[in-house]
Amino acid sequence: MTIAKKLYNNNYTDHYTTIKMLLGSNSMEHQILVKSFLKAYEKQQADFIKENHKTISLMNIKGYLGDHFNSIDFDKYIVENNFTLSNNFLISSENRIKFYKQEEGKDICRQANENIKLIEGFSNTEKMRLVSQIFKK
Amino acid sequence: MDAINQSKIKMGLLKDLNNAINKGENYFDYLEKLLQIYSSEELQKGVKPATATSYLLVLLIAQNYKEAINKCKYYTVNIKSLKSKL
Repeated sequence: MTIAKKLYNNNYTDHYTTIKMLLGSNSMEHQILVKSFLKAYEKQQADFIKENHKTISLMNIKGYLGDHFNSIDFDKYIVENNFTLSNNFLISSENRIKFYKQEEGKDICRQANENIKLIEGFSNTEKMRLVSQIFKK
Repeated sequence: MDAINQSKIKMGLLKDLNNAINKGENYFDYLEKLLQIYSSEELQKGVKPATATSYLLVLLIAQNYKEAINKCKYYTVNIKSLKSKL
């Protein structure tokens, strides 16, 4: 039975599997080309995402990367493609990537909210003064 | 250009292409040269599965999907004509 037939019988008939299979090819040429193709594909999709989205969730990224999504090292992918919080790149569904800046930002907001709660009994002028002090910090 | 030289040039271009993609540099010059090589190989030797696969992958990297689809049709026609001769 040929490899193609085996794949067909196991329902592995998507295009991605066929391309990944070439990584196991004896030909050095095919191996280099497949690696280059996958890398170029990641970069092309990242550029497209950056051009068309201010913010994007992990699930939406999955839509762009297709089956290749599960093979990507996302920590590396984010660094390589300059996806950071300053580019408004957000992950809303999973916490698999550590966005240190996001966490830091959350802490500042949390602290500010707690301080505002503390001053709820104060007059408006006092509140404004305290709030301005908080944001000066 | 003899076959050994062409093969050496091709491997050099492939490695340069891979490096350029990894570093995020412009790689279209390498792609163009590789496409020329594969095109001439195909003309010289006819449709071979290994060359056809590489040719298609280079077209996909170049995002030349229209040409890649045309090539696929061309290869299918070739396979059919070969089968009919058997």
